[in-house]
Amino acid sequence: MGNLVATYRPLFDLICIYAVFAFSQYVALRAGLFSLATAGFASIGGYAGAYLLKETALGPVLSGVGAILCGVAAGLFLSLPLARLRGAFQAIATIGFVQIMVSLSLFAAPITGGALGLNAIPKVASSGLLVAIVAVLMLLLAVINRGGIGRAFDAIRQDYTVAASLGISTNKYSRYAFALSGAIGALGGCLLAFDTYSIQPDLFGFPLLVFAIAAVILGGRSSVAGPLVGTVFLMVLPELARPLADERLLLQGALLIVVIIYWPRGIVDGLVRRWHDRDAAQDPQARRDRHGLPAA
Amino acid sequence: MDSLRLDRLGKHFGGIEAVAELSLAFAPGRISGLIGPNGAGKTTVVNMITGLIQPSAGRITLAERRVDGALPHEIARMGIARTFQNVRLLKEATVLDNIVVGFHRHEHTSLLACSLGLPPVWRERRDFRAQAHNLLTRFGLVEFAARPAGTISFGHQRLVEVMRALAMSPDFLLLDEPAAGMNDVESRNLGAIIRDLAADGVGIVLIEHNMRFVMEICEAIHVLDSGRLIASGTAETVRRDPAVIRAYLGG
Ligand SMILES: Nc1ncnc2c1ncn2[C@@H]1O[C@H](COP(=O)(O)OP(=O)(O)O)[C@@H](O)[C@H]1O
Ligand SMILES: [Mg+2]
Repeated sequence: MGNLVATYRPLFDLICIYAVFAFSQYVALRAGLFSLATAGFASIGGYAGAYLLKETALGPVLSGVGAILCGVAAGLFLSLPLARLRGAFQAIATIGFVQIMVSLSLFAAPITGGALGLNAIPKVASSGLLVAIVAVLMLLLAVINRGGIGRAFDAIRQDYTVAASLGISTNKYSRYAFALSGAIGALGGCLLAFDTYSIQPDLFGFPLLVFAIAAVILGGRSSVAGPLVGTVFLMVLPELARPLADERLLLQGALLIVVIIYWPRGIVDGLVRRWHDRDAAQDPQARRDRHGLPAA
Repeated sequence: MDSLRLDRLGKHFGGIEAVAELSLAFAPGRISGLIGPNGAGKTTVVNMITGLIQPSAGRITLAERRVDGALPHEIARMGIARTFQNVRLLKEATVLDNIVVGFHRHEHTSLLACSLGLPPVWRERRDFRAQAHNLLTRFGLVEFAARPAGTISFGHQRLVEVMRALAMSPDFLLLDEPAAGMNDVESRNLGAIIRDLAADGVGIVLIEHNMRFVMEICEAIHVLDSGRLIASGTAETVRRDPAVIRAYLGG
């Protein structure tokens, strides 16, 4: 990602695209999945979109749809073995998936261009389109959160056994979350390809995996605005501290540790809570509630 | 409505025989008590009925349908609801939202409709919230609707768990020590609620240590000791049974 910053692409576009990656990660966490597969989905979407756009007559829209469908397929495929795993096992298996995708994109040179990647991809994305996509995505996620799927996600995330005892098929919703995370991750990868002329395997490796999880943890896991705020934070900060721009990964890692320790809810959810706190400042019991204390 | 039947049910954990040769029938609309000293196997029975653990022997049926072997969420959808001995609410969610998740069984919108936010999704949401509100009113806890579930008293948390189970409109409700941590007034109210439910046709299985409570509201009482059924009958007969007195009441 360091070389990304070094080039002259508008930061704004990149923020939109990386926010999409953060949303892919957000969906997984929201559903109680410990999936770190976003970077792998992004790789699939990036290469599929770029390949379809360059080598077929499908045009940008259908190529994008094709990329998203590839992401859905990858998510569903991953979910077959992984929906049954929990916690750390899921995380480790999805890291393996990201590694495999990096290797595949290096070795499948006829399609992916190997280490050099795919170049001269027509630029079919505009800043306006990117903003529109992020807005629609946020709306979609807000809708999902408030309906039955969001309720099932919340239950599964907080107590797997209780969810099942209420008739919620944890497998079904885990599969759905993997597919949705895959679709959004692939969309992000495809947008990156459609906006930045070229993609290489190292765009979709460990740094992206760390970025996606860092953006969500930093911004907030609950509110839909969280991943966006986290992304803006992570992308803008190195620009402000120009000399540190090349230490982006280091900065992200350090921020992640600090936030996890001191502000575990992330920026947006932390602020929402603080606002509630102030709101309830007059009512001692409500304040006790906010801090998880039993009734006085 | 048919009974929930346990047929020579058994479960061992390694060398421990937690439940053995247990045959029982729970009838709809009846309040059945399941009592016995700590470690007698009561919770294990509930866990087997709800599919959280697999029986080592025997079978469980509901209206001729095989229950054992089905997955927990499938069993819930057959109409068997439960509460947990250690209260398990979704702590991050509000009291109201905890009850709303219980309505999952009544959800009819498809994943697609739900993803797109089509009108039925919002109708359902409004409907579930209204019904959850009604339950809270009926249980006298409506003032706590917006509180985070982890912050109300343990007695109230148990009631919220009962409401969440009721949101499923179950045919059978398994209550694992629901009155623990409640004061006399609260447990009396709970008793009244349980009677109402049974009158509506819900089969109740009540695990409880508070003997007075059990003797008062149960029509049939089954006594377990070391995983085996040692007595079954009305409160009167069970109370006089020498084996029960030896194992449990006598201390
Ligand atoms: N998951 C488990 N693994 C191993 N042993 C268990 C498990 N659950 C229960 N037991 C054992 O089975 C016996 C019955 O426990 P339980 O059903 O919880 O009793 P009760 O609810 O009547 O107090 C106890 O000896 C307990 O230690
Ligand atoms: Mg028990």
